Amino acid sequence: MSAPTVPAPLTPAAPSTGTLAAVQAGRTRSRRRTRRLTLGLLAVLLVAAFARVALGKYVVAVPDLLAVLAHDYTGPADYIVWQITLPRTVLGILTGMAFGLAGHLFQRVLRNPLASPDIMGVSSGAGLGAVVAITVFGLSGPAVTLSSLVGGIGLMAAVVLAAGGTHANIGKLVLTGVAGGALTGGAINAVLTRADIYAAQDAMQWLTGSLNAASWEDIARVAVCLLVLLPVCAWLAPSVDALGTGDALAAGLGVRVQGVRITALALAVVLVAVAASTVGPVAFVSFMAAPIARGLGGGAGHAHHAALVGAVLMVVSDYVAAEAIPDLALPVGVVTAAAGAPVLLWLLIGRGKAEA
Amino acid sequence: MTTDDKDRDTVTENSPRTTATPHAPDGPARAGWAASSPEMSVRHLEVGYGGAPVLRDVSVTFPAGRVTALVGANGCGKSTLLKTCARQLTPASGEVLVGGEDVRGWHRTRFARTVGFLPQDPVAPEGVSVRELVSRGRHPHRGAFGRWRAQDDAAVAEALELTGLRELVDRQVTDLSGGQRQRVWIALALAQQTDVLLLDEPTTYLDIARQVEILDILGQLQRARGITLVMVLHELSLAARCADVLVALKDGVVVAQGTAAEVMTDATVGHVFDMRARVLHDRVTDARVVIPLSTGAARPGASDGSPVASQPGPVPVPSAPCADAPPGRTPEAPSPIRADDHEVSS
Repeated sequence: MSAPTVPAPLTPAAPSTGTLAAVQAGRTRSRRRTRRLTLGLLAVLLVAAFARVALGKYVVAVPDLLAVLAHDYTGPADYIVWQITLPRTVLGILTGMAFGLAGHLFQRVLRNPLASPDIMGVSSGAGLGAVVAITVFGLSGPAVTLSSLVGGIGLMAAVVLAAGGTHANIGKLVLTGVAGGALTGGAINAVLTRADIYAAQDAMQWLTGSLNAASWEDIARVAVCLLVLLPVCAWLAPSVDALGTGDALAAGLGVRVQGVRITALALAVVLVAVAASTVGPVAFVSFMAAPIARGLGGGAGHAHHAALVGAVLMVVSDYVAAEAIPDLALPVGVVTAAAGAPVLLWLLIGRGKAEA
Repeated sequence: MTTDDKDRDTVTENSPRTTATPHAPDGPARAGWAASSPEMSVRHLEVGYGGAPVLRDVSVTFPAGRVTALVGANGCGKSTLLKTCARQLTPASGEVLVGGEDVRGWHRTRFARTVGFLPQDPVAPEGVSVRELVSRGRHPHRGAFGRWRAQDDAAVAEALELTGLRELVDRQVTDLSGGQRQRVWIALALAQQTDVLLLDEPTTYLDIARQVEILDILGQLQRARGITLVMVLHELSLAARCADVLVALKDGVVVAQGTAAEVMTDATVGHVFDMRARVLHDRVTDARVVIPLSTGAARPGASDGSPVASQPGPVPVPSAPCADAPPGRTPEAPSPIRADDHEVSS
């Protein structure tokens, strides 16, 4: 009747200092790495933003730029910076952050690097909403924002319902999203072919994604939206990360799995729809941002890195689109679409290797 | 952990490791830890996935501070029972109790701090280190926005040490072997620091040595912490080796429960798996091994389960498996399980 011998090293006392130190050191290291990447991305974003603002067709010298920003300058640079280059840069940063964050949320809660809002049809849904508003009802401004919001949320809701509700299998959800996106793309074309030619051209421009029409009103709209949604994202982040280990384990850790997934998807849809309503459904930024952030930082990837990468992608792509070919200003969506294809290939090849 | 195994082996040589008696509920309390862990039980549980019920009026208690193994054929409802205990499935009727308290009203966080659950197929996220993955076990203990505190580090370090992962702290989980990865998942569950731990087939996809390794680690952890451990196990011999209590299910009903000596009999094993089988008992190691004879209707009367022609086994054990049990083992000892609705097999 003797109790079994408890092996000495297994006393439930404090762990040996070696393991504890290794755990603490590992955490410190990864926190430092995270901070380094954040600072690095901020620096790159600053440089890109400076180039976009001051090194366009009309070059503004640094002292002049500072004077302009301080409202202490009169001359053409004042108009160029405040009315053209600065708004499109700021709007690029804000919408890039929204796209990047939305992509991160989608890919994380659906556990699939290909499941971004642009690939799953949310952007097409927002696009359909906007195209209908522009061509059929002749609307503009906030009405288009609202219409594309309705389109994006409507499409996502339809996809979730068609896939079988909130408890749907993730693979089914992603595939339904892709199908929904294709359907919506067809609907956009149908609306465009029946639309008035000038309205259709407006709509086409918007659909490609462009920062040309950036205005401070757009910026205010996107900024307010981000200010409201970012704290919610930060609050949701630990639960969103916990979903990465599978629904059953996450539920065992006390995560409200379906609630977190639906909330995160809804947040992402609103982010995409608001951003897309001002600059159009810029292709592949949502899709690229999080995988690039993960590739740069290692680890599981952080939401704020994905947001910063999205911002950098938007600003750099816009700069390239405007300046790469002399006398031909391309919309930003053309460049991001061209950049997206190699990233898609890289992801597929990388995943193939990981599974081999 | 290998050194610990050796320590235990030497003990076993002198006094055969008796799985049942030392762990009897009224036996000596172990190190004060066992007393703090609650028992888990289910009462009149009915669970179904829409169609016919998978569990039918199941009532069973998993004793506090003991290891319980759920065994049974594929589709018998053992995984369903475990998932219902983990609140992954909602029962149609009946209740799940922890320490006698119905958990239905518990907040998710409270439940996750009391009952840990390791599912059969967790997903290893890409690019995550062992330390980061194990840290996720701290989720129910963290504050708003996931604040990290010193005690979280200590819990993670303890879990890593207990599972022998000290050397792998910074490795990528996706680079590990199956056995190492399974240890990482167990460490995650340990970092959760729950009094009750439910494991759904923790040894699937592992080779025999890795299975034994995982079960030995779990047994040591259970003894060190005195937690209430319940697992679904496929391999009967391993279940008998590591569990204080075996609960056998068939067609959604508990058909046998008790110590390995009580449950691992020719008749019970044959009934549970619809298969003629002999259970051999090794006196030296107190291990029990199932020899499958034939599937189909189990007819214990016909030919008395003896293989006809070739019987190369060196130990022709008589069919009563506990007749040769070492002294001190009493097969008639009361079951550590409170059997309210105990259906005894023929």
